[in-house]
Amino acid sequence: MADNSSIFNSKSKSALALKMSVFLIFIGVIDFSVGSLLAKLYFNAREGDFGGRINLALHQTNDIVIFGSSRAQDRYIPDMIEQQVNHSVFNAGLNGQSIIFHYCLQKLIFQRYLPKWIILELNYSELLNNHGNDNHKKDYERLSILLPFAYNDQVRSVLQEGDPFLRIKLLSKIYPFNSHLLSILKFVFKPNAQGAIGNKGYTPLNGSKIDKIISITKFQKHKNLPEIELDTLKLAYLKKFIDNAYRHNVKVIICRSPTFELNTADQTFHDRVYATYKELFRKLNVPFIEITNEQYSIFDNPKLFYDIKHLNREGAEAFSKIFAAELKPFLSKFSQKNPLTAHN
Amino acid sequence: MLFNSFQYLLFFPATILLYYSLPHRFRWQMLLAASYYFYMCWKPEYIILIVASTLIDYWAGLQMGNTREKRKRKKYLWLSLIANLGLLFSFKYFNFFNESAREVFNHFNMFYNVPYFDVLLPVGISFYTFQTLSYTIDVYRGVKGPEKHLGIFALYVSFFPQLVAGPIERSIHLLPQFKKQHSFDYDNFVGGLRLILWGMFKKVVIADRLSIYVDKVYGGTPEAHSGLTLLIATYFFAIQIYCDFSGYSDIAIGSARVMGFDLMENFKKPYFAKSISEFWKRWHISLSTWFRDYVYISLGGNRVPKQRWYANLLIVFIVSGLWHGANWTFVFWGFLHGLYLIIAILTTPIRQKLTQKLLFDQYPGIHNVIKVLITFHLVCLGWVYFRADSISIANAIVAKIFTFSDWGDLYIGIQRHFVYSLFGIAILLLIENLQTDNNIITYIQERNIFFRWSFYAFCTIIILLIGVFDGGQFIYFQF
Repeated sequence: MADNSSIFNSKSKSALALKMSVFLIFIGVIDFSVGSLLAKLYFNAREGDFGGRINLALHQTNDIVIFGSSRAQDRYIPDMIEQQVNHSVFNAGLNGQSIIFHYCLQKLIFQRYLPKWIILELNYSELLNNHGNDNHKKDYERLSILLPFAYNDQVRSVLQEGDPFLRIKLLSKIYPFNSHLLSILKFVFKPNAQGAIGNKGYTPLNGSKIDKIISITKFQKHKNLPEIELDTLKLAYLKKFIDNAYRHNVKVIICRSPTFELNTADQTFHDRVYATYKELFRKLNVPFIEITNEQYSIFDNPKLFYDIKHLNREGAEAFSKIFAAELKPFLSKFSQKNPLTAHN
Repeated sequence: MLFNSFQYLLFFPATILLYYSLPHRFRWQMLLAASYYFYMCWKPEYIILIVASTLIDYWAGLQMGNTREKRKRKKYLWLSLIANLGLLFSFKYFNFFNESAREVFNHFNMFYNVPYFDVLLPVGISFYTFQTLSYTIDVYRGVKGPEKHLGIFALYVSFFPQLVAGPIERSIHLLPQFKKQHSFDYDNFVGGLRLILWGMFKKVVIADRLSIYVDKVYGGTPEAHSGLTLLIATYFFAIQIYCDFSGYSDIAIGSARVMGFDLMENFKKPYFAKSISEFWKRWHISLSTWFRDYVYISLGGNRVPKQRWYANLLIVFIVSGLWHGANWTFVFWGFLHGLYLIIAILTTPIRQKLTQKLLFDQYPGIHNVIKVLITFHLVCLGWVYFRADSISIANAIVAKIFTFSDWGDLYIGIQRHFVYSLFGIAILLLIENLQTDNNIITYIQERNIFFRWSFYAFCTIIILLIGVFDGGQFIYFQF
């Protein structure tokens, strides 16, 4: 009996091994087919935060490319800026992204073409060390939007910093397009729903939620503002961003734009943070444009803001006009030297 | 190491391969090492707590087995209770009671200077302490003799599939299985893998997707949302917590089954319950039976005067609420369920008369649907308190829902997350309805190969397409 059972066991194991192998091949074929179709549809998309915007940025050539998060996406109107500065402009801002992403996007763009200038819209919290929040994990997780672009060696090496198992995961053709199915299909059936193609990356926000935000801030406990300490990883990527631009003879300008200040404590804190950044940019010899509520009282008007951090359409129009005027003198005066090696 | 992490995808097959390669006499050592490694992936130093709990309860069990004197046995039982509950209290509840006491003292302008205990909650401490306590209580009661093999006992305490989030296994059910030789069994192996696949689907496709919406509504400023949004978020949370926890249980039970071990079923379509009492026979069964057998029955159960019976119910559910978390919201949630049961008992005659008057007894189908809907909504009311950050916020949410405030305004958030969430719920309802009296695994097993492989392929591809892979923590890990 024991011999029979061991033979049976051995046969069962062999049968199972065979079935699992066939099943894995079956899944592999489906994965390859579906993944390939998704890739084809994905790289045809030209708008959408899932990555269509990245494709749009890669398939245009412009003199000026603007990088940043949603705070770049909402306020830099390329058409308006172009009219004043007489150079083509593209808004490559993407919601929720940080300097690590901007560096990767820069790499991808430079692989296609070289703009003359790049503007980096810098949020006040961009380079701050957020202790205890494990925000590097979140920053790397947000880079998942770049998974379809892992064919680029440098992009892939950045992604692998956040995920050592990436190489194995990329064996799946579907995996890079995780959670993008509906967005891809939306673009297939409604190619220009957001108008980003015509707007050259700019995504207007309509209306204002400021009144509602002011009314609900009374429910929120006042948070103690953190100490100003720079994040070493993000600082390193900022330097890489600047250095990579200059190695390709592309000039960098960094910009601070307005937020809606709920109280003076927040405003003072933001000013202190940017003062720290300003000193940093001075050492890096990178021009810094500041457009603040203090300098331009028009931005004290809540009606120009969609929420605390974002401008609405009216606010964007006001901002773009001011920004273009501030930018124009830099375009002709800009130094050719790489600021990171200027003092060597 | 999370079940839905890539590390587990590497750890589990390696463990299985080793398990079936080794002779039976070496398997417990390998499983013990694997279980300790599994736990140490979180915080290595916390293994000391599991080892301490293991050694104390092993020794206490042996001592109880050496004497028939109840007084002496009780001494060792108390040692086990104090050690395990002391650990649990120190890491999980000290700060909660400390801060609550501080608020009371401050309210009366009295001096209070007990410091805050800054320590990370050990993952799974509520589960493994209850599991070892069930062993020592069973030994004390004479239900089970003491386990003499330290290694087997250590494995019982730390068995990796159910170590950090259950099911909470009884020693009489699990311990003997570690001594039995498990030959490779095709049905168990494949059945276990099926369960893992379905559990993973529930976790990453449904639970983690729903959590994006729920966290946005409940995690921000919920009072700012409309009543309709809060209601939808509450429904979503009900599904989320079910899929998160039952998904984890499925992966745990499936992982064990692959190796030939049988763990208890933890969920039996709880939202199809027709009463709160029935709900607790279907939800987190391992915990509810633990409280029934070791707390409720010890207090006298329902074999006491009525007022005492109601008090027993309240005590059990309040303690159960507290087990879930160190916050007054969990205590209130437990109290609410205790209250539901008491009200159900008190209103039984009235409800029976009403059923007859409304002719529901002649239409049992419709009556059952109404009972299921009422029970589901009573449970959802409890989930508001379970999920909210504070009782005042929960009250505000309930008020907004029931006063039909802003009911025209539904927050969708990012459209695709909402659509994926609805898709996941639709699949869940379909599968739960297909199950009828069997579980899904038996249902799939009875179908032809085409159906089975289509199901596997569907789950796998959907997990790759719309599963959430940011390594979201299982909800019950906070316990």
